[in-house]
This record gives sequence, structure tokens and C-alpha cells, in this order.
Amino acid sequence: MATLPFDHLVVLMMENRSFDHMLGFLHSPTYPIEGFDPNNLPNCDSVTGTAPVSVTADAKTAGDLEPDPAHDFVNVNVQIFGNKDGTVSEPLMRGFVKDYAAVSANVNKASNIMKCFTPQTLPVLSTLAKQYAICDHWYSSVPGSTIPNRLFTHAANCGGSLTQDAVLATLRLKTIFEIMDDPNNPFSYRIYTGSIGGTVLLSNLYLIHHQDGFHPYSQFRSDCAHGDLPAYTFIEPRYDDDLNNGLFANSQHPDFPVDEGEALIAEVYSALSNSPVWPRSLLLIVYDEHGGIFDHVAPPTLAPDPGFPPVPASTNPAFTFDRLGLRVPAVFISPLIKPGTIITNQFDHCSIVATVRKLFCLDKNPFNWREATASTFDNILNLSSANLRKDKVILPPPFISAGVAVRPQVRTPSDLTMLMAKSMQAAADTLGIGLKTHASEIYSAQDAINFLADTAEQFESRG
Amino acid sequence: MEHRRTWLRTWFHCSIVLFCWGCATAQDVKSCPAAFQNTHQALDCLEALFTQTDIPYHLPHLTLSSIAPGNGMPIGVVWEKRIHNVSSPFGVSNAGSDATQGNKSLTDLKAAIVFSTNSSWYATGSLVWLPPLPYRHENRPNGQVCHKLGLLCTESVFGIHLYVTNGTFQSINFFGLGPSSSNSSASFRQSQVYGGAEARMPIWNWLAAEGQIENLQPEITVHGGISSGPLTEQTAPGFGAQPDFMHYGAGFRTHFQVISEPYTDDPPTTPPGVPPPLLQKHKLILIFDNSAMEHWFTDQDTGHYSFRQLALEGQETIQLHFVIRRFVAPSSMTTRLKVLKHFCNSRASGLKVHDECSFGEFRIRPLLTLSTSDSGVVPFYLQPTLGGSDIQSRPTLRGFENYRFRAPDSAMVGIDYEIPVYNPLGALVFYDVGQVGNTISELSFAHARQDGGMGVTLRIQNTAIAQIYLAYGAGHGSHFGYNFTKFF
Repeated sequence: MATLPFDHLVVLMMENRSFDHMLGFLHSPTYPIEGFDPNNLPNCDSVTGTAPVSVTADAKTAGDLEPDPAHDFVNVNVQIFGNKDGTVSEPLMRGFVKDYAAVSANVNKASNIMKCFTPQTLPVLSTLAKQYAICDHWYSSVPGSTIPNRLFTHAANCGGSLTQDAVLATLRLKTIFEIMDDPNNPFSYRIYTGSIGGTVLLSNLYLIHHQDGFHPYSQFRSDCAHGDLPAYTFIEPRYDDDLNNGLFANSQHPDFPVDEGEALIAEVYSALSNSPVWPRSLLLIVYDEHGGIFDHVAPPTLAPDPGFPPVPASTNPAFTFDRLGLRVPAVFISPLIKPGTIITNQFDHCSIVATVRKLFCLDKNPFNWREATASTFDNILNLSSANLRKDKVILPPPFISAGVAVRPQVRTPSDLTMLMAKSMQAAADTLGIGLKTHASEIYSAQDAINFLADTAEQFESRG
Repeated sequence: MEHRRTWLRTWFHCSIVLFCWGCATAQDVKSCPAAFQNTHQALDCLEALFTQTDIPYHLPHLTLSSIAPGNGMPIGVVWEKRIHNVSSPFGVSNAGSDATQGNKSLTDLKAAIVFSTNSSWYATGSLVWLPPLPYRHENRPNGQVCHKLGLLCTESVFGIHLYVTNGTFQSINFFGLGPSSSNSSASFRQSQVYGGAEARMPIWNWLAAEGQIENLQPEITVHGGISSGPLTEQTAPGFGAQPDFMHYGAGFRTHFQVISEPYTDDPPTTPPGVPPPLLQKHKLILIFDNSAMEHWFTDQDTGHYSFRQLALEGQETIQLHFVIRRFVAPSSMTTRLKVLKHFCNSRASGLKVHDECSFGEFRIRPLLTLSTSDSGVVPFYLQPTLGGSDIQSRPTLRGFENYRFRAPDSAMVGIDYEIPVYNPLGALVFYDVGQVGNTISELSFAHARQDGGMGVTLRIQNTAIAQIYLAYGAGHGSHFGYNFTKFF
């Protein structure tokens, strides 16, 4: 058997946040992701037709997005094209405020759809993105809602439905899990869920009869610690508050609190990075769809390849699944990825199906042209095993914001500052000087300044 | 007042499940006018009617619920409003930036009314509030992220639950009190209004303190208004008149989960030249859930019926799993391995590394209730019962009728062994032993009632949510029953 780039793929799929909303403010001249230029922030048309509404760096942990922004196909059309039919008649990506005004029936609240997080208010995901690899062109597979997108994640297909009633298609869809269960295939999978039954996959007839792949998330840490992870692991967050037990949902679906999802991300990272399988693992943190929240990049269209099976089309509304949904955050994490890696390749959720099939399935025939044409990410590792990273990224605790504006200019340390900090850390390590904080703990400009000042003081005291 | 709180808890379970489903599906009642066009539209409509929380004009949605055993199949409507917020006024400045931290809180309002096929019903309203305490996230050395509040560092947070309920169970069987009650029964109607507050404070991840205050107004009647058979004040203390009670409760709840599994680092397939490891390793999952609550019931009229009740309840689960460590191709499967593979339930005809297979699980459910009263009287309708399922829908002595034994004190242990057979179905074998007593001294296991039986379970994600069974009660005979404990 050929050597695999990684033996264990772990996918954590969160809910309903766009790339710009979560990571757009991570952009800087020295970290040139497709985010925001602070001097030229993107904006949307206002409801009243007056001054356009710009993005703001004041997204809160919760409270901004109630009611839930609409993200059905026609609403996404309004957000992208400015009309429900999806016809190109005006500049793209300017209809978010108008659509949320209609959904919330509140003109004053409409601009909340432009609120974005900063590295200060979203410290965990931001730190992981910068310490490993950010993918700034990962699109949801369908310009629509959760169920079709999650089905594309598992089957590159949603039964021709653009709406949540795609759940009916789940019953008979053939998923990548069924393909993995090929009698002769040595690779296995697990699906960890944040709550019992909290997965659309339990609506699938095949998986209903093969439930041994489902496990409670509470066992994930132990399984990692014991080296007990299969080739492919899919993690479902807790989709709802557990009222009786004082637990918040951690899916980050609006308007559930974002910090709880940050805690989940940190725990998954910690569990995996402390596992004996870590050197041969790849963790992907990705979101199922944009949730109706602003993103400034128009999603690309796709060209069907007649050489592969078709994707069942939607008839009402008419759509042939030849256009992707909006960008969502995607972060690749592995000790074989250099810090600060920016991946600009175009991916969508079909890339998960295609990659799992390529690496872990015997049946190499794609479900359809969407899977066949999706890029795989089996080649994104950019360090050799000889250069395996030994450092451990210490994550900051999740942040519970109170909604007070954050000045963008204090959001990230510059590369020069980080270079200085890392040099000082290396010097301290060589000299055996224990520092108050480690350079890997820096995630803001202020942290970097504090680190440099403290370290200089410690060096001085040592003569 | 366990049974009344269970109404709410069961309703919450049901609502949460349906709400989760709603999160994932979110059909719209707008599809209902077209419900008769085809099955697809009908399913859409049905699902929306049971799950949609944002029905226009704030109308409620339908729900299935739980009701005391023997009172038919309940259905009702639920109205709910979930409010998330971050409390800015308590915000504190975040060191090193202009970002300001806040305190997170959650308020959840619900109201429901449920009717069953035998005219039983209840209406309830509740508010769950996770107040904006200054919890902060903290990364623990083991990588877990907890909610930090002073010295406490827990996964869950402090919560308060306010509730008020009014309802009537039309048919509760009464066989008399004590361990030797007769086989003949009378039926009574139990109505009650109650309202109060519960609070839960997590201390550690494995320990939470709980407190409760409640006002209870029960009413017991018989059909036609005439007492019959064994139902008199002498045989059923409290039958003649039911005072209002103030009920206070305090206690704690524990949860432990331990997974015993050898450390391994097995590649998906065995590389050439590497000696194959042992075929399997054990994986024992031990889950211990226990609670201890002391309840004080104060008769608000004369004090005659005041009493105390200690309730200890547990469920100890031992799951017997093993994990495959070596790939075995279908062509290499021996008869022994084929038998072994049956417990893995995967479609593969070989064995795969990291396949987790199950030999089933043991569940041990101890239950002890002890009541004490200065007057020597504990109202019969607040006494624990054994037999079938109790008023909280907990399986008790399954070889006997529902509510078969009733007394101020009770003790029982149920031992279940369940194994998956063909997903989503499992096989169940069980043994129950228990006894009720008018005094603690009567709780002798030497004279305990026993039963054994077998049944079929419905399993979701390796968790049994329903069981249907045939049991044989020693000295009693066979009894057919069912139980939906988890969700409905």
C-alpha cells in the first residue's frame, strides 16, 4: 500500500459563519489573506439607499444575529445578486443588509449582518489559522442552507433539494461512509456527536443500520489519548443548549454563543495534538455555510463534466448545482504544516468527500461530477516528516465579548515583531532562561509588545 | 415531588430533541396548505407542525410528551421563546486591548399544554435562566476549556429553573399500602397545581449541588366521587383531604465517566515486516450517575401530613467494547473471527483497525426512598411505588403492574443487560429486585419481590431510548409492558 500523506483525517464542521465574519480582519500587509484592507473596507447597499454600510469589527459573542439571518437559496441570491432570481444586473455581494432588514423586519438591526470578529474577540480560531494554514477560498457547496451543505459534505449530493427538506433525501443517499464500509477496505471511520442523535446522518438508512460508527463526543479525548482514532473522523458539535445541565450549544450557529464553539475547537485541537497519532494527523476546521452573513467574495460557478454522473437538479427553484455557496472559514492543522501558511486553492465540501475517497477508499469512482471536479487536499502538508513541528501552540482562552468596538489597528502583531519575539525565544531557550510567557502564546500586538518588554527585562536581569 | 418535576424534565427532553431536529430541518408550516398534494409535502408539513419555533403570529407547535403510565398517548402544543444575550453592563476591560468582556446569559421561556387519549392533561410554563455571572473561559492543563467562576472551573454553568404546572392524571392504580398489599386495585384521579424554582450549581465537572423550593396543591378524587374498595383514609392516608404543601429540596448529583483502554498506536494496515499485533484490545466504558436529595414537605394547613423524604438514585453503566487492532481481509476470516465480527455490526466482511465492537452493556439502577414523619403519616399519593413503571416512567419491578406496590419507603435494584442485535434494535435481559415498606425494617431483601424478563430495545447511537418486554414476576406471573424513558 502506498504511503499516505496522513493516516488520520479529523474534520470538525461548525455552523453558519462566513469567512469575512470570522477571519476577514486577520488580513494584514504581511499576512495577505483575502480578507479586509483596513483602508478600504468593503460595504453593502443600505436599506434606505443612503450611505453604504461598511463592515465593522464589533461582532459579539451572541446577541447580534437574532433572528437568524436567512440563507435559503433565494435569500442568498438577494445577498449576492440583489434579486431573488439570481440575475446579474448590478454589482455583486451588496445585498446582505437589505436581506437581513427584510428578515429581521428591523432596519436598525440590518447592519448587524456586517459585524465581524477580530483576533481579539475570536482568539482561538485566529491563533490556529496563523499558526498553521488558513484556506481563504473554501466555499460552501451549495448557495443554500445547512442540510444540503452537510449532505454535500458526506455525499457530494443533496438529492436535488436546495432547502432544508433535503433532509428527506438523506434517507437514501449513498454517503462516503458507506463507500468506506467496502468489505475489502481496511480503513474505518467514526462520527462523534455533541449530543445523542445530534446529526443529520442518523436520518440515513444505511447508517441507521450501522450505528457503530457513531460515538458520543465525550469519548473523543480519551480515544485520542489512547491512540484510538480511525482513518476518518467527523465531529458534530452540540447543536442546542442543554438547559437542564447548564450547557450552551457550541455549534456557533447564530445566535448561539461563538465562544462556546471556540472552546470546542480548542479542546479538539488539544486532544488531537496530545495524541500519539498527532504526527500523522490532519485536522480540518470548517463551517457548513455562511449563514446569511456578509462575505465580499462572489462565489464561483462550476462547469459540469459530462464524463461523470450528473447531480440531481433542483426544479423549484431551478438550479443545477453549478455555482458554489459563499466562502466559509477553513483552517488546516497538522505538525507538518508551516506556521503562517496561506492556501489559496479553491475547495468546497466535496473536497472532503474526494479526499477521503482518494486516501481511504477502494472505490475510486466519484459519486458525480461535483466530487470529480473538486480539489483534494491530500497535498497541502508543506513540511517533511524530518521537519515535524515539535512546538506546541498554546491557545488563548475563548473570549466572551460585550460588544464594545475593537480598534482594528491593534488586532495583530506585525511579522517583524513576531520575528523579534521568536528570535528572543530561541535565545532564551538556548541560554536556558525561563520566560514568563512563550512566544507561541502571542496572538495580539499588545501581547507581542508585552513579551518583548518582559523578555528584555529578564535578559537584562541575567546580565 | 419527583413525579411532577419529571413531567417537566420529560417535556424538556422531548422539546430539546424536537428542537434539535428543528435546527437541522426547519420546515415551514407554509408547506401545509399543499400537504395533501403528495407524501413529500405531507411530511414537510408534519415536521413543521412539530418543530417550527417561529410559526407566524407566535403560534405554538405540536409536541409529543410523556405522561404517567396507564394514561394513554399524549399530544400537545408548545410555545417557546429562546433569548440569548450578552450582558454588557457587567463588562470588564480586557487587558491589552480595547475589547471589553461581557457576561453571557441565556433565558428560555416555554409553555405547553398536553392532552392524552384518556383525558389526562397538563399545562405548564417554565423559564430557564442561566444568569450573567462573571464566568470566564480558562484552559486547563489537560486541554479542556472550563467556565471559571472564582475557585470553580466547570464545563457547565449555574442555572435557575422556574416553573408552574397544572394537570390531571385520570387513572392511577392503587393496590393498598405496604409490601403485602392485595392484588385487587382501585383507580384514582390525581390533580395537582405546583410551582417553584430549582437551582443547579456545578462544583466540579463530576459534582453539582441542587436546591429546590416549591408550592404544591394536590387533589385526589375517584371517578364518580365515591370512594370504593381499598381507597379510604384508613388504607390511604391523605385520601380524605389534601392540604397545600411547601416543598424544599437539597442535594447533589454526581457523574463519572471512566474509559479503560490500553494505549496503542496502530496504523490502519499492518506494514510489511511488522509483526501483527493482537487482534483486539478491550475498551471498558464505565459511567456512574448518582444523586442524593433530601426533601421536606410541610403541610400548610394542619401540619399533620408534614414529612421528610430521602431519595437516592443511581444508574451505573458498564459498556463492554473491544477495538480491533489488526486488519483482517475477508479471505482470512476464520469461523471464530466471523462470530466475533458479528458484534461489530459493520458491513465489512473482514475486520478493520479501530472498528469498535460491543458485547453489550450492564446497567445497574439502585433506587432508595426513605420517608419519615413526626405524625407517622405520609400521604399515599406522595409515596414511592414499585411495579411496571412508576409515575416518572422509570422502570421498576417490570414483572408486576404499574404502581403495584406503594409505601413510604422503597428500595430496589434493576439489573439490565442489553446487547445490540440489528441496529437500531437491541436485545434486553433483566432482573429486578425490590421491596416497599411501611417502615425501614420492612425493607428486607429476604422478602423482596423479584422478577426477570427479556425484551427488545430501540437504540439511537448506542443508547436505548425505549423498551418493550415480557417479564415474569415471582409469585405473580407474566407481565407484558413497555417503557419510553429517554425522550418521550
